[in-house]
Amino acid sequence: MLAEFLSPLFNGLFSAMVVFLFATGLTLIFGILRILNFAHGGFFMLGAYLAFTLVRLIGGDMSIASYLLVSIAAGIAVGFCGLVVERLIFRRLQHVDEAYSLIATYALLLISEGAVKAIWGVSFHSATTPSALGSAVVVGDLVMPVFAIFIIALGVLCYAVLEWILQHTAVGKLMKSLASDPWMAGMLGINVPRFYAWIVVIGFFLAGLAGGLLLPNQTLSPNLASVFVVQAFGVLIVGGMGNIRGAFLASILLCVIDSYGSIVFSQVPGIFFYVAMAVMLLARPQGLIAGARL
Amino acid sequence: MLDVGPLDAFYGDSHIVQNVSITIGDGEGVAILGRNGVGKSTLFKSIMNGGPRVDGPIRLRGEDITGLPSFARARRGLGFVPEDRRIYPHLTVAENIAMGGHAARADRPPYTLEDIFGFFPLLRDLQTRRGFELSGGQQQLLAIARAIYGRPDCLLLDEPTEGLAPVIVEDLARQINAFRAANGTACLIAEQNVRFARTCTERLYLIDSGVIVFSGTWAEFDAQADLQQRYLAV
Repeated sequence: MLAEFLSPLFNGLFSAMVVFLFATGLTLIFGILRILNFAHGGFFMLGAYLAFTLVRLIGGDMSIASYLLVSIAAGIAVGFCGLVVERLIFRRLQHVDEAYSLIATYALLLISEGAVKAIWGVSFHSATTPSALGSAVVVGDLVMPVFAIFIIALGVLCYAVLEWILQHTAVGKLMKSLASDPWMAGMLGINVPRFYAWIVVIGFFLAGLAGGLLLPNQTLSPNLASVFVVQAFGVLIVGGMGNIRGAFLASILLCVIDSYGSIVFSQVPGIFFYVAMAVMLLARPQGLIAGARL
Repeated sequence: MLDVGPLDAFYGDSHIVQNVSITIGDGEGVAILGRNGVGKSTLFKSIMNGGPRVDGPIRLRGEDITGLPSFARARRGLGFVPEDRRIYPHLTVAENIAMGGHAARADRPPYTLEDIFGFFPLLRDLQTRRGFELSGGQQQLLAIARAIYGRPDCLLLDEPTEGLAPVIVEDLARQINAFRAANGTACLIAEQNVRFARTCTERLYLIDSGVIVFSGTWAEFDAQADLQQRYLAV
């Protein structure tokens, strides 16, 4: 009885935080640089593969601490890729038409997929969940996997940290200022290009980190790059085009609606995410949180 | 102190600023007068490298700053107030002022907020207000305060009186003059308001269709009665 109502909510929250963790770096880069990074999924995948290799090297069962450290290491490695990508590509996209951004980042997606195929091959791999997260919590007839609880907590934590930085720190206020008027920031003596480079590195770090954190949940194949991309774009748009709080709320809204919808209409699972997205865009085309960037 | 040109500036194929040369001495106040659309803002943006394609040298304190990005020019001592002010709406007055501190040079710390409130007492009572809660006159005052916070050698004000009530314009002139008298900051002001420009500067350039058509002191300007009629009257 309990499970009938709460289980879709729990599952919805789990997928919401998976999508949110995936979408944070994408949202940050779009919010500040106005570059829609099609390659985000590719670098998420790279993070997952790097974490997978690290897990193999360590061997045996992972503790929660080493699982987190492996994810952070994957994030740092992908962050370095971000530094290179910024120098070679993103820096050149600042003053050109948006169409070039789409083409350039799509090409980058293809390159990252090719790199993964070249290094790890095309066969499927999977990593096991750390045994500390392998059990489940049972309340009445509601079964909640510990890994899912852990991911929900991480998603909320990630949101809380980003929100606190944006609202209450000097760096966060600077980020919002640069997002709203980078031209004036330059006039006031702020090194805007260097600031942008940092944002790209942080955005890529978040992509790699998410890849590592979600590794136990995924089957690794070169298709992983595109698994969450469409949902993440949906969340980005419904949230208000580059607003972290909006992306967080949109993830929850769309995924929970989808989760309940898939119970009622079980013959078309997953479609309610898009139905909810379409309705939201008709009702509030400016997004959940409009006007304020980040 | 600031030597500009001869300079040409373009937006796309439009040749907006043509062969313009201006100089500003240490601590000097200079006005650039001209009607709407004659290239005043484009000239200012060219000096800051803030948009137009620019061809020609710009020297600041003898140092060639041609080719430097905007932020580097700000850090070398140019404090710029654009025509549209561009106050950050989500930041408070105090936070907006502090944004100007990024331009402070390593060897010269920015003013303190207390200094700024000394120059512009009105801002003291507004310091916790957010940018979007300010009137046009308050925004203009704040934009100037933000530009001087980093202790620039030269202040560039693009049409500071645009859209302000006459009584506020008078106030603004008084405060700018008091600040400059106390700190020896040079100032370049683009204006259509002749009275305001005259109060704040010692000499002027007259610009029309991107070309300088007159340069001299206010006395010399007054001696040629037709200038105002030809180049400024609407």
